[in-house]
Amino acid sequence: MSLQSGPREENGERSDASDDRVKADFFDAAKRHREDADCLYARGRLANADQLYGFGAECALKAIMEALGMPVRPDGAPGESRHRVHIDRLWREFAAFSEGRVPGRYVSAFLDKNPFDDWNVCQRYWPSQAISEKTVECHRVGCQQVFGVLFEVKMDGWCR
Amino acid sequence: MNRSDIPAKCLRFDDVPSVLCRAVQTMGDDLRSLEVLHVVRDLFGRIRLLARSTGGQDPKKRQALENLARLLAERLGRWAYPPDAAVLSTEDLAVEVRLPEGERIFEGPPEVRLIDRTLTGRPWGTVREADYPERPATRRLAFYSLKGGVGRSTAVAVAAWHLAKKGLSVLVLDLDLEAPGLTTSLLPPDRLPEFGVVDWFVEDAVGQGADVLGHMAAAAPLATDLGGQIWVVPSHGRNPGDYLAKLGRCYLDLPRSPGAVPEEWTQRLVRLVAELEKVQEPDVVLLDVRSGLPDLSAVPVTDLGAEVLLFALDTDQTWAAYRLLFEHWRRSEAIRILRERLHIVAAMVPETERKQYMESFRQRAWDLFRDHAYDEVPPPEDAGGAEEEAFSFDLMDEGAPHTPVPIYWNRGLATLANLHGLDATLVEASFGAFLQTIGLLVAPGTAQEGP
Repeated sequence: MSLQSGPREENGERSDASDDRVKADFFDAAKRHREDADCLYARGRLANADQLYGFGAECALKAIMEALGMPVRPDGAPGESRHRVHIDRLWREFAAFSEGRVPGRYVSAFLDKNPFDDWNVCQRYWPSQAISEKTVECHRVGCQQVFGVLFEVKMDGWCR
Repeated sequence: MNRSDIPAKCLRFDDVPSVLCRAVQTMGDDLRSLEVLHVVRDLFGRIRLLARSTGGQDPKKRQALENLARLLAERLGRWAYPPDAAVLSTEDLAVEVRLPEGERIFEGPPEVRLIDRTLTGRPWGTVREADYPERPATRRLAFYSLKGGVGRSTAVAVAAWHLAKKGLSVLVLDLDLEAPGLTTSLLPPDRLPEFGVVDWFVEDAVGQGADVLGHMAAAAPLATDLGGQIWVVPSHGRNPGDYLAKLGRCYLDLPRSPGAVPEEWTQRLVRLVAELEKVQEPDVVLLDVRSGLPDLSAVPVTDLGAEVLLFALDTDQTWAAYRLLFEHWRRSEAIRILRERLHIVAAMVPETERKQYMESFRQRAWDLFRDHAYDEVPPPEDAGGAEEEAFSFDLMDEGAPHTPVPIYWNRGLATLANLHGLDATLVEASFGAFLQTIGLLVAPGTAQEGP
């Protein structure tokens, strides 16, 4: 195992599965990760803020997809393996997922360049200096963008 | 029984606003802390209360909203959310979203504004007047008919011919993308330009719109030797390619820079018109608008600051359909801006009993405008000077929005395959009054001569 890869995470298999006894709640988790990211960001703890912005965006996007009909397993994780990935890969999956299924206005934001292209779940093993302020800012805005779409989805009545 | 007293389980979609307003009244002082209550009606028609981010939600206001949510859960049946999910807060998700002010459905206090979330239809109820603090430099005329088959595209072509005869440069846009065909009367197939409107949409999506912009207009042979010019922008180019594949990508909102709020496709269309004007520098733009109520038709009518010619036949179906649209404009208050640029056209006036036909048409047009577009004028003793300011016209007023501009049906013109070699006498007999109106709209205040 290399320094850059965590256990069982190269293929994202465990990226969002919860403990078997607790069902995933993407909406709640998205809010928590983002709020904590904002706290760390405000205190200049950029490296961990960055990691949490990525998780916040991932969970918010999974909350959107679940609201729009993505099948989930009993533990709450996405039914299809291509959706059990982190935000660096999930961003691009959303356009394919939504084709012919959801109003175009949700998709527009995701046709853009993926701001999480350079985000990596394994960056928690990286030295702090590896995460620049510019990178965190990009991910903070990207996370905000996904939350904006989540709010639209809520307003339209796809979820509570 | 009052509609707002209907048991919740029997409520229908249209009953919801009145029941909602009654509930707000019932709450009385409890809601007085709110100046404006914003309500979201979702895609399913269910009602939620919106707590806008105000930098620290006032607990009193929040409590008032939660109390109202409980009352609505009792009264709105299937149209309500459970109380614990009925208040939607921008602060809760820490998002800043641009939301419309919504339609005022209750004067209050508190004033209640309904933000409607629909899949389509948004452009009909909003007028992007902000983009046009004054009329656009180029005169724009939108030709619209709620029902098809009224000779609208022929009228566009004849108007272009008339204006070109006056020495003007005319740009004609075929915006009937879902039923392309205006161009056949103006351009033979071999004269079509390389690209059309749908090509611009797909190229613009990948940042190549500017490449095709200069190859979208072709000169209509009709205008040769007329003095002016007619430039035609068709829906597709000489080689239509996979038209449906391109059409299916036109209605796409797109961010213009990373992370930016997506530009709505309706605004992309507005941008296309402005960019074509920059390239072609016409004196006048004529927009052939798709009939019916698709969003595509709304853009030229509401968002381009155009003078709008509403084509109609004197039939029950036509007036009933226009009432639906005018009622929507009245509710959304868009009518207050639009009414100044609406002109009703009596299309295909029959050859026989014209006088009676036009009298009936005028009466029904006036009924429509009086009920939905004109201000109510108070009786003289209460007027107090308000009369001058009211936007209102009498049945027989000339030059009012409801005053019909006739186009007389003519066998010779109706069977014309294309407009080459138009007979000026025939045109005058059929389109004389119409073309005079067109002339006035293009150059207000100038005396017009016949075609």
